[in-house]
Amino acid sequence: MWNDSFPDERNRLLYGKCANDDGHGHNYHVEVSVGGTPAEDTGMVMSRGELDAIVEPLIDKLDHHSINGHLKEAGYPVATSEALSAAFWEWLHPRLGERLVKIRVVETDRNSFEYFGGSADRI
Amino acid sequence: MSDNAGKQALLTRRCSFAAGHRYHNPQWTDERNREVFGKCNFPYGHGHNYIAEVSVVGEIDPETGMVINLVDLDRLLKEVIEPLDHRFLNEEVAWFRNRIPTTENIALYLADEIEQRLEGCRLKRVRLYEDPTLWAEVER
Repeated sequence: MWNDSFPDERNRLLYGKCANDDGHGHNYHVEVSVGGTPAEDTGMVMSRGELDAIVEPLIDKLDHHSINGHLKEAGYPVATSEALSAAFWEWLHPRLGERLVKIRVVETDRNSFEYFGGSADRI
Repeated sequence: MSDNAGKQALLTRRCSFAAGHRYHNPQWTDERNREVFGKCNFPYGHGHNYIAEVSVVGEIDPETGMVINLVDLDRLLKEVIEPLDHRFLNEEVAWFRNRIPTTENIALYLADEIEQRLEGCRLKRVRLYEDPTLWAEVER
């Protein structure tokens, strides 16, 4: 975690171990929640297949890669899990639309981050 | 990064402590206490490995990318939790002298103590697990 626009000392103070020059990794878990009224004919909000077809290509793009570049491209200068949860929303919302309810990024078994589209009212 | 201003997210941090308690209402008879509280009324108390999940809401700072610095949140949580850790709550924590230290009440206590100290974001929820099968939540 590093903001290029901050002096080195500020980055080290703010991000501590997370500012390690060579980065570090996590086994992230991402929960994508969709909601809505189940369709009358299928009984489903969305089929598992449809959801997988939308989410899995994104996971493939990120899995075992550095997420810093992807997040910078999305407008997030620092690769925090807050930014990752918001970026996931923004990457998936064009495909999922109003069905998208929540993104939850689990960074470790002690930390998780939830994003509901940016408005506090939906939290 | 001005187009990222104002985006709100929820962050949850999990922490743990061990504490003892006894459910006993001194205004009731011994029989009534035993009837209502069962094993939790045994005279010498019992303990739990509590797990607290503390959720806060705030803006993702467009510069730092954070809702709150976890180092600061951990410091705050340690300050709140340390006085409970390895204590017998009924006797050793003043707030519980006239309240029964149920999971519900401990969650309320944690929420109040955390809320008083939080800066830059707001408390959304405290979920306190007494064990994996029972927890209480306080929502703000």
